[in-house]
Amino acid sequence: MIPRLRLLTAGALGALLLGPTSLAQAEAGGHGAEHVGTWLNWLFQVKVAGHPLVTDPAQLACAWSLTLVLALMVTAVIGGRRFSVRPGPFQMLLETGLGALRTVVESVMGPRGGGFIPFLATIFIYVFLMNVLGMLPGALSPTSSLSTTGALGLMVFVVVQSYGLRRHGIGYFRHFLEGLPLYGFFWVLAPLVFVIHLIGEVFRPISLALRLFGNVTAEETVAITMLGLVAAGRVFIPIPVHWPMLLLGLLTSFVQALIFALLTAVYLAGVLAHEEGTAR
Amino acid sequence: MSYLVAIALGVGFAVSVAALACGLAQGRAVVAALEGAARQPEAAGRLTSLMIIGLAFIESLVLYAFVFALLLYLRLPPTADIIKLLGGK
Repeated sequence: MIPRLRLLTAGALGALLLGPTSLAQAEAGGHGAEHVGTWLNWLFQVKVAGHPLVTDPAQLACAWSLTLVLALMVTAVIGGRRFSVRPGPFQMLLETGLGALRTVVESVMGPRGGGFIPFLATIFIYVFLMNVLGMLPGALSPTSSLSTTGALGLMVFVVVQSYGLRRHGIGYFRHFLEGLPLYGFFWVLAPLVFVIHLIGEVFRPISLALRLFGNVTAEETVAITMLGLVAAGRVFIPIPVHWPMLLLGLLTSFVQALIFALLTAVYLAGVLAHEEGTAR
Repeated sequence: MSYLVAIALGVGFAVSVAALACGLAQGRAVVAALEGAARQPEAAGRLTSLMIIGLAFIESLVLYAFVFALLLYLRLPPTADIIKLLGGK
């Protein structure tokens, strides 16, 4: 096990060493962040029935997302074969992470939250790996595109609203009037409160999308700018000055993925806990 | 031209002002978490995770400002065009 770990570390460090080269060349070439060369850029040349397959950098982000999903599926199938009562390192990692996530989710959602762990853990792992993917040389973060984060936000919105509608039926809309005393004069304010709450509900997935997109794009922009400083000299010395930013980016990627999953849990708890009158 | 000047100033000030307010707010959050941890060292782990979550919320407001500044920045024409417009070379 230990020699394999050493090989992995050496491989990762070697891969990261190549990182400055590709990004610095892109910066020196005067391109913006969206024209960074990635391993999937050949998709721009592929034509299906006469039409180009990929025309937009956002579609390239989607292609990278598909690559990540394929890699995750392969890892899940191959890694899951060896689960046993005496866990290996991969199983230990998964169990520790899922245990910690379960603790946090159950503190937010109550004991009923355990049923949502597959959904929330998938969101967490997927978003975290998407954020980190951009740090590998020649790869692109799918979450650096507003399309990806917008799609995730839309998914959370649909899931939360459909759970609420399924649980409460048409009475789901009663909680939009929460906090409004329902006698006498206050009925006039009901449409206003309804609209305000509706706007708040619609803003939640938008805020999720913008938060994730802003974090990842900011980290990537700072890294490319730092590399631009390296690449602007007459002699190109590949010093990886952006590694401290990548370390900070690792932390913020983890925190933002956790925030995304936690906020989904909070919204679900808000929708599901309503009949007991508990405000979470 | 003053339209472009206004946009450029807006881009410059957007994240700066947001970061100022974010620094103040995150400072208050960290102070509260540190005081709680100093009072009860055994609760330090839970306080740390709550603090991190709170900091991420405050930071997300700066990120909304960054996203809008980015939108404005991408609308500005390149500097070479502006120099040409001003009659330079």
